[in-house]
Amino acid sequence: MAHERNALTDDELVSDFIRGDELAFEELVLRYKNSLYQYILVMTGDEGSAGDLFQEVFLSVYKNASKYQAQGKFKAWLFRLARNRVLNYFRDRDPLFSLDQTDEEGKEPLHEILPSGEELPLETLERAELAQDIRRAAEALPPKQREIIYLRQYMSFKEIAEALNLPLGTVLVTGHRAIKKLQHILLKNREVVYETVR
Amino acid sequence: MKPCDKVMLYAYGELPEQERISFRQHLEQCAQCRAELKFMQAQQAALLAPAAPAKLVDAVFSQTTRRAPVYKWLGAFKPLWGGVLTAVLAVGLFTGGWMLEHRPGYDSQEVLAYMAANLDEEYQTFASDLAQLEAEF
Repeated sequence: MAHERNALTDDELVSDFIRGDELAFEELVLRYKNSLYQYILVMTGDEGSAGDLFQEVFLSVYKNASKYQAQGKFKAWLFRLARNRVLNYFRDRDPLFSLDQTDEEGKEPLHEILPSGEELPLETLERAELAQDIRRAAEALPPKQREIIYLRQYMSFKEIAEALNLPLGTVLVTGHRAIKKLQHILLKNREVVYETVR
Repeated sequence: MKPCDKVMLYAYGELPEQERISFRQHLEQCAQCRAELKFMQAQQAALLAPAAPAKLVDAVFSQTTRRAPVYKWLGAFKPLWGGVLTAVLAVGLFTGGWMLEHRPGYDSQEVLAYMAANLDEEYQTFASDLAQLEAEF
């Protein structure tokens, strides 16, 4: 039976759950627990709050599953629920909070962010700490760019556009800027390390 | 869209098959795109989601699918909770109203006569105690 649930689509699991199959709900939790937790954690930057919000999101799914309209977009629905929780979390602290507020740098033309022809730090970063450096750099991205970079780990750009209710073009441009910015931060960090050693 | 603009979609596997083939040809000639592609692949690997803490998943299950049977049983009747509460309130109001209407009545003359008789008796006891006290001191 467990094997059969693995093979079901999200919509089929939601439908089974609404009909009373609680293990279908558990399958959905297991399917998305890692990506959802990572998303909430990188957006809040706080493990305790991320844990609370993670539970709240799945409790909300449990209580409101019947409100989901099956269109093959469960993932987008789930991450939209999570995003709203994250936004509320920040708005409780700052009523004027918006994910856009620190995006100014992301609006720079791409060529200003990374001058063309500049050598990428790949050769120097190809070492054990590379992944760690990238994660650290990702934390320094503006929230909106960070959000899209991480969401793209779990869903397509089209699904992100649905989850965030944004035009696909906006998502693609923000994703591209995020990657350029990431490279820029890594370059800068390399310079800082170089200056420190010298 | 220029070929170099497609590197992100290629890296994330979102280019249609035909464009993927032509982008591979472009990659052979474009060092910048090759470097960007390599970076994006490293970035994807670096940002892979770690496992969510097991205690969090257990906490979700213990509040939902693995709750104590009594809570699950009560939860199953959740749609009826409003109706049950309304019925209890209605019964309470009706009973209270009926009791107010049917409380026992008193004959005021009877009550006054009883009070006078008993108060008098109590007063006499008190007066006799006082006289005894005064005699002793």
